[in-house]
Amino acid sequence: MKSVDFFAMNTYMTITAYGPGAADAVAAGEARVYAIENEFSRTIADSPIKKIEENAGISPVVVSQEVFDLIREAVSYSSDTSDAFDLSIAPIMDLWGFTDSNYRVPTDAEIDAVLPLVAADRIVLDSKALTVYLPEPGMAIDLGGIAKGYTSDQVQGEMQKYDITAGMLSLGGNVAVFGDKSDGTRWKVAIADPDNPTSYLGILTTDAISVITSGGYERYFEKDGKRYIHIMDPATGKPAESDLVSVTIITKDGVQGDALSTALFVMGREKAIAYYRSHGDFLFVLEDSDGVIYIPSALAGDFVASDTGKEIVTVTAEGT
Amino acid sequence: MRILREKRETKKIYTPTFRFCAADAVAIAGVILLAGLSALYVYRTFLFGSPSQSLEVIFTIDGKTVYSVPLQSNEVQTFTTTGDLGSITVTVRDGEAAITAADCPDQICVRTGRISTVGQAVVCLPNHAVLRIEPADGSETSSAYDIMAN
Repeated sequence: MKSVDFFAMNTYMTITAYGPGAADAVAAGEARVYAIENEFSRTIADSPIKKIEENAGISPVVVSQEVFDLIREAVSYSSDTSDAFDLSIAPIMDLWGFTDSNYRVPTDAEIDAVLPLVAADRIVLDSKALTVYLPEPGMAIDLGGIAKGYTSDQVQGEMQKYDITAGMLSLGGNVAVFGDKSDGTRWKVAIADPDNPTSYLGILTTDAISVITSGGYERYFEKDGKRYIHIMDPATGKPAESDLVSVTIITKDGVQGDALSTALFVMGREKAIAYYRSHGDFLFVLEDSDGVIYIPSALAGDFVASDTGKEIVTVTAEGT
Repeated sequence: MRILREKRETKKIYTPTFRFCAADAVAIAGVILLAGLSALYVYRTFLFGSPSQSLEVIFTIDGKTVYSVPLQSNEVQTFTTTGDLGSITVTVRDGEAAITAADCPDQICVRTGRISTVGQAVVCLPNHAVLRIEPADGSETSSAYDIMAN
């Protein structure tokens, strides 16, 4: 067994591998993280994402196939979730100070001035020329809501080139597990309790999977007694006023998990469950502000709630 | 009081006598047992330490260990370190550890709360600081879960 932990993508990561090639696998995994960060970070000068932003309203920017494909995937999630997830939310994040931790509450006039820049459908993609163009100065792309999920998938792929039997990743709490544990048991992934983040709501027993959680409980600031969470509603330019406190997506596809954990949080409980019923290619654990936990019936046998006294409601895939 | 006593002396209606019976024995044994269990509970870490192995609290900045101390201690311990953004204070008490103060705008680390088992961690991103718990002998441990999503 070999494990590394480090800071990258403005978060804390741990990568663990089991088997003869574990040391090489975790080293390769860590290197892949830095390589992706250099491509996709908005805060690294000369990154393709930064160049696209600097050329907003000026000219299209030629990017690599990898960057183009992930931006295209992010755009399609924006459209598929009716912009509950929006990769062009960056100017609003800047306005609230979530980009540089200089938190402030902007006026409605300031928000109204910036909000038209948040428009994933205005991003111009040319798949032949491999260019990305933001048509208005001030527009920006932030793949923060999807890059960790992408990185998780990529790191797993990189690690599996080595002689390992199993591995697990936590990229800032975005979890992926793969391979077979040496004791033959299935993986156990705990899901943090929003009321006490070092404790857990329950434990998911699973084979290879990504488990990605979003909530307002971790990153927020308070001003004049009011709490402002970091998950923004692209429709209002303000922190999402969701009736959910925690959204966990369970999926084979880390990009989907990352995008949907944010999107379903912004949607709120009813729309989130409706989205699940119309798509169905993932599983979830939701907790709402009344402390009720919602899980799909398909998960009922694999999710064991801890003794928090919270009610559990099982959701059918078809609706009632 | 005086009137009562006079009444008793004059009328002698009732003279309380104490007879120790089985029910009294059970009640007294129960009280003693409860007191003993309460004391055990309160002093459990002092008496037994960690049930199976000794744990230590490790505090790192940029991956380098700044200090490591036993999680189980009979007194409250506080440590203050200077990181990139100012001071970070760690408190270890009653088998739990927490970042209790930090000069950072987020305060995520302080809000994370207390940790007490292997695998849990408190992270201060702006300072690249991590507080975590490991077995003192470096052995692997059995935990209720492999990894936690948050």
